[in-house]
Amino acid sequence: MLAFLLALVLVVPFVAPFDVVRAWGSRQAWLDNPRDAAPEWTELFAGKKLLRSMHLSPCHVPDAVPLSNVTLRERCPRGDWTKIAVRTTDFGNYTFITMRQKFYYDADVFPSEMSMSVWAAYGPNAPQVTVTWKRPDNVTVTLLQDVPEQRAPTPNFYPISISSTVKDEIRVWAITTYNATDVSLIRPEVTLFADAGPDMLDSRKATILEGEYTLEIEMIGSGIIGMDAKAIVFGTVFGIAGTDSNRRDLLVGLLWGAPVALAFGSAAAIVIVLLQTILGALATWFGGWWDEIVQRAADVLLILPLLPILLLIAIVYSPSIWWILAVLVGFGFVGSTTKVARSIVLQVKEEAYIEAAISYGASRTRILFKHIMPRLLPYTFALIALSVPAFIFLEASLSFLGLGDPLLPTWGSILGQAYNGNAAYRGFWWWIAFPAGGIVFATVAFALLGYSFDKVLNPRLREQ
Amino acid sequence: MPLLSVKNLVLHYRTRKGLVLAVDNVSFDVERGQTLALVGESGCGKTSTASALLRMLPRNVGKYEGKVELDGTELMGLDDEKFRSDVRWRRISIVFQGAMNALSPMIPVGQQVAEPLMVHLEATKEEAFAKAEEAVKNVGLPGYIMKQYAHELSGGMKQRVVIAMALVMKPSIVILDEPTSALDVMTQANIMNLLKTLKRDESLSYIFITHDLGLSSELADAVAIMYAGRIVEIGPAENVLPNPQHPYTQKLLGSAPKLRSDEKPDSIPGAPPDLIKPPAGCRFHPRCPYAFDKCRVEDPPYFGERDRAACWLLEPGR
Repeated sequence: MLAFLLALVLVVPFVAPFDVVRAWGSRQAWLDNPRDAAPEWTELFAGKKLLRSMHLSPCHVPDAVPLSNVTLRERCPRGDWTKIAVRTTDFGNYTFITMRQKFYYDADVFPSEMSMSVWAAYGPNAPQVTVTWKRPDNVTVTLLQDVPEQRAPTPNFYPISISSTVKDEIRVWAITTYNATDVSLIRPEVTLFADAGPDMLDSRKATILEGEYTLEIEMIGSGIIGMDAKAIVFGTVFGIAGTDSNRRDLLVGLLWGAPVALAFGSAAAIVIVLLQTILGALATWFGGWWDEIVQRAADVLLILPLLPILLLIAIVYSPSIWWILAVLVGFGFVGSTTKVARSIVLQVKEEAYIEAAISYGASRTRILFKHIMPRLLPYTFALIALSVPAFIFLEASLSFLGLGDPLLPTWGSILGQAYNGNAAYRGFWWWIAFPAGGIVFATVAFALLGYSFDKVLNPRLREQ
Repeated sequence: MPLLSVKNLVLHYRTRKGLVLAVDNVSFDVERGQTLALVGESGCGKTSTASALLRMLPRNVGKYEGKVELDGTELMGLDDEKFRSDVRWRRISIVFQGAMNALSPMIPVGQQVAEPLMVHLEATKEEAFAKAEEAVKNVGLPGYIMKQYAHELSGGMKQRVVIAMALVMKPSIVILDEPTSALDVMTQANIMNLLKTLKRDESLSYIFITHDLGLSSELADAVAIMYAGRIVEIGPAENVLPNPQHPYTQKLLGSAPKLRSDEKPDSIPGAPPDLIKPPAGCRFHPRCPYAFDKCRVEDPPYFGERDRAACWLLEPGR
């Protein structure tokens, strides 16, 4: 299990480079993903065909949008659009550009959303954009007409699912053409893909119309203009681990959660346990008031509740994960392991070979490092391995409460966002199960490691 | 001149209940190449005497004084650092009680044998290991055990390792603190033979601490009987063992079971005295069948020439 975790840590930077993680906090980076999508493999159990997002990719973006200055059927190197430009100077100086794409819809569920972006390059006067939707039943509907404000390379974004003009357009069209029953809340992406009829506005009663759909975008402008467009029909399933309400690919968060949890957990455990062991052993071995000070300090720090203190610090300073680690070390330089070390040193220092070492004149420091520390080592390693889960949990609980590092995806923060997003109530089980599974997996792996460490490092248990 | 001469050695421990008179005015000599057996029951101060000689004192020492002269050097006058670097293991070494625990479980035994040499900066690591291997072979162990851990060795082998460790710096005197008490009889015999051979070959002097009079007769040239922090009888083995003077020695010898005899072993009634409040006068008087008035009041001096015993019964003119 641990090997799997470590392999994951090594592989993750190649699968999901670090700039993906930096984009974790931004919304822009994830706009093309569906919202709240289940993992793709749930299709195996769903018994029907679920929808993966359909991307009608732009022809040139992110390259510069070319200007259309001759009548031509233009090439579309990146996408599958049919793009035709018409120049005319017969009745003024105009350019007509039409981009059309056909796609086949055969899923058993409605899409979750639809959106569209249009890039426009134009002179002094802005062109006009008209979007038409042609269905398999040969019905055509105009979705919107607009004068785009943004010039390329900034896209004009049309969220078809939530745009009120599109909704009104569709509502009027459905009611007048098909005498559809009006409902207060309509979903354009449902109605557009629904069988024509009275139920087509009601997303609960509508049935799916399979077949070939055509999206056509026409731009008319004076002078020479250029155009590019893309459209996304958002699916209901995505990737291996689904997405959250911010459209983020949970797989990236889950994968990056492993190195973050391991780095934090093991760094905290190694530093704290080693510090506590060394301090405890030193104090006990040299004794006197040192011993007293360290043990009383350990008592105090053991009694101090760490979580509320961390919460306070996190609220006031909103620290990065390494500051949290520093605070942990600050409050954990002595603690329960100090007591363990003390009990072992007290036991070991009475053994005959320590007496022998004193008798042949070894210095106290030499005895500590040569004879006593090796006795502590197996316990130390086991304690490190066993306390890693505690720190993973601690980090997870801080992140869960929204007080961890806001920039890093961690299992705890994903769980916290799932909680805030009512994932359990809304049935987004993938949003909860995978990060929770990650925490459990790492914890169990380290617990098992702790048990086996003792067998390996303790020469009494070592097999010959 | 004797190799080691101890005069009026005193070691008292402070405890909450009072001062424990663990070693109280102990005097003895050890001749070069000879063995002094220090015999007595548990808690009579044998191991404390050894600790006092090596200045391995616990924190609660109440009183520590006397004269210890080793080969012309007065040891009690040396400061701690000089004592550590010049005396311990270089001139006096010790084989501890319970060899089972005298080796660290975490370090290969060869390294432990070499440790004293490295501590005393006698040698580089390689030289120390070479000398350690020599010492290990000297006690009849194969060289490959150098790399083994203590738990891989038998009791007798561990005891040999501990002896090798005591001899590795070639001291002139070795204190053997019950070196065979944790071993079975066969191994015990083996170790005793080894000790005899080493003594002959290396002309070592031993202080052999034991509670077993029979065992002491194997090795000892001189015998000192300790009781309640004092030596009650001291003399050459050939005098003390066949012809004990002090009633305690007699009782001790009588309590050893005899193989071919119907005679039941004798026992000494009562228990050893509390060393915090030892009895006034002769410390053995509450358990002594021959005690009379004077014993209860006055501490007896030593009587006798070669075999000296502290008992009023031996006062000339009685």
